[in-house]
Amino acid sequence: MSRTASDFPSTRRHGQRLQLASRVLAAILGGYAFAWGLVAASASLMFAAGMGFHDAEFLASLAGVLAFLLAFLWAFVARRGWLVWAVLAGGGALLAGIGSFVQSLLV
Amino acid sequence: MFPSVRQAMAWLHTWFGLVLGFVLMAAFFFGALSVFDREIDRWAIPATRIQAQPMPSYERVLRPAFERMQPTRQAIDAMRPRVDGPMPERYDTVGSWSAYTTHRDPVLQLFAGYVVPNARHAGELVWAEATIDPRDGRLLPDDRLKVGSGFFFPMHYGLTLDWKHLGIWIVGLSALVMLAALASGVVMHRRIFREFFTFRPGRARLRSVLDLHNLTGVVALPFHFFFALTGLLIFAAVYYFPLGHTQLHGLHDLNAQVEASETGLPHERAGRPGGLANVDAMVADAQRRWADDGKAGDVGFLVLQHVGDANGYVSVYRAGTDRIALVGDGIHYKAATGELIREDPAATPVARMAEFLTGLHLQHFRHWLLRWLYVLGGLAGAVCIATGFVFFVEKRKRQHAKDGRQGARVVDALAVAAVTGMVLAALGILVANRLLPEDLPGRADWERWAFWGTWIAALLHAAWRSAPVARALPNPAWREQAIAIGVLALAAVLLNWITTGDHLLRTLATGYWPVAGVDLSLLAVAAIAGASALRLARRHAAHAAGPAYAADAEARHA
Repeated sequence: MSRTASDFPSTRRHGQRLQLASRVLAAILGGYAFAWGLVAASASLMFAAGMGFHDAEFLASLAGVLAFLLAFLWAFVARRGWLVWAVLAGGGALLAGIGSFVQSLLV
Repeated sequence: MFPSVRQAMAWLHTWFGLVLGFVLMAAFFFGALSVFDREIDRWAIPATRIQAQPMPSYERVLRPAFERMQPTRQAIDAMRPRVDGPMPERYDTVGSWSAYTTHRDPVLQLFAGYVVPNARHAGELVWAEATIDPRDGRLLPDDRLKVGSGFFFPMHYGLTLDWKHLGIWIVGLSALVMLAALASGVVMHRRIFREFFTFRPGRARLRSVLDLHNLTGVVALPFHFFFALTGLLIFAAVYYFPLGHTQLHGLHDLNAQVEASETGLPHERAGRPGGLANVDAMVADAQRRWADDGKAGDVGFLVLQHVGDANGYVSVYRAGTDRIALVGDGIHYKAATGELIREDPAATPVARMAEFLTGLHLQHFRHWLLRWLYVLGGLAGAVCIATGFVFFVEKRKRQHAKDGRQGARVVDALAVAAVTGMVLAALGILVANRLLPEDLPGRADWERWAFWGTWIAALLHAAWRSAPVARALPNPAWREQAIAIGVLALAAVLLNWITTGDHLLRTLATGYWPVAGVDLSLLAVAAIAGASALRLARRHAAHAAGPAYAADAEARHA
């Protein structure tokens, strides 16, 4: 523990708790958003490539669940909290956007 | 955030494992019971203790039974908000009739969907269900609780919390955490492996608990990983990632149109009346076609679509008894003439993979040894989580006792409720099932209350007896509930004998394995619970004799 931190132990503990809560939320909600986006993007792209919708949906869900697992673990391992949120929420939104865009081209 | 990957993994493993471990305990334990859900149903509903039956004749048995069906008052009321205008009293326009059975079902499930005039979503049907004796079409009481398939099984995947599918979401998150716990457990394990060679005589129990935790986690790791993953996949498209109904609705509908035009199976009614040719002849034809393909088998699912309409058709699906993949090999006939419309084409590679993965989880195949291995796998998961709880408490209770903190005490009480309490609750519903009068109104609700009541009682008992944990001593509730498990398990076997006359000598002599198997399992539970209670009593006596003796006794036991 550094000297500055030991000067303000309660502030430090409080900050750590907030950080931890942020990581937990990022793991669950951010992970879910990312997985959703991945399912949307990959299902629509596989469908566009000629695969049946239900086949595409199944493969995309498999990828989504595994991506959720990796995102969940990474949310606790990563150095920077803001990066976790940026990649999971931002990436999820971007991927979901790709899904809707591909759909708009086909329907 | 965390100084190292290993510490991040340890934090996640400990705390997510603790919080969602209680849910996982239920998922594993009731999953293990669900492997034999049909057999538990037979035990709980003595009127259905007959041998499994194949799909009966439509003309002789099914049609009269279908014609008697009508939606219940509750089903009509539930549908009312989604209809413009009044709901009719009687429903005569049949959207679909279907019958479902498996190789372990002596009773047949019937489903009937009726067209509702002015339904907001065109095509939404109001449903009726019935259970019949397939030998003569006799209606069996449908208000009896199917304790196995109608209670333990929904507990396994959704905790019976139906509101907004909350239970399914909680179990889903827990399945994800199970995957994360396995991954993080492996990362932690490297360090733990080194610690195996550390000599810790005073902490023998801590070590043996951890050994069991690692053993049940690692030996069955592929099983745990696979079941958590496929469990998520089975519900993914419907609940967890329902893109086909939401974001990618457009693609889903586009695909449905293409499929409908390819299959030639009419999606809508024609609005003109149509006849119905001999359905038994269609079934016989379907079985001939499967046999020609080298896939002879019984019918698992029979569907009549748009009954009485010119667009009506009949679909015949195989029961998946002879292979892991959950395949239907549907064959479809025009209802009015009985002519073949279509045979389902061979599955795509992706569909075959999906059928295999979901089939391996849902196990419709006939393989009793594999079925028992599933039970063992599920129980290994339950033991893994239970020892996780015990390890959490054992590791902290001395420190907490010194600091005057209550954490270990609270977790220990919850662990008692989650481990022995859950077994007690399952036994409570079985005992109530045999004790309650046969014609009690709302009998199924009383049985459910017996389950939750027993569980709450176990939790209160565990909390009430938990004070010693705050002094780093064991909670006597473990031992007392083990005794209660032994008593209730024996009582269930005896009550089954008294109320039905089906004692073990009879069920074994006649080879009626569904009931004999449940009774034998209950006796095994009683024996294990009794042995555990004895062992805990000895340990308790050792603690009472003094800490030095206790440590010595523990070292010998470990």
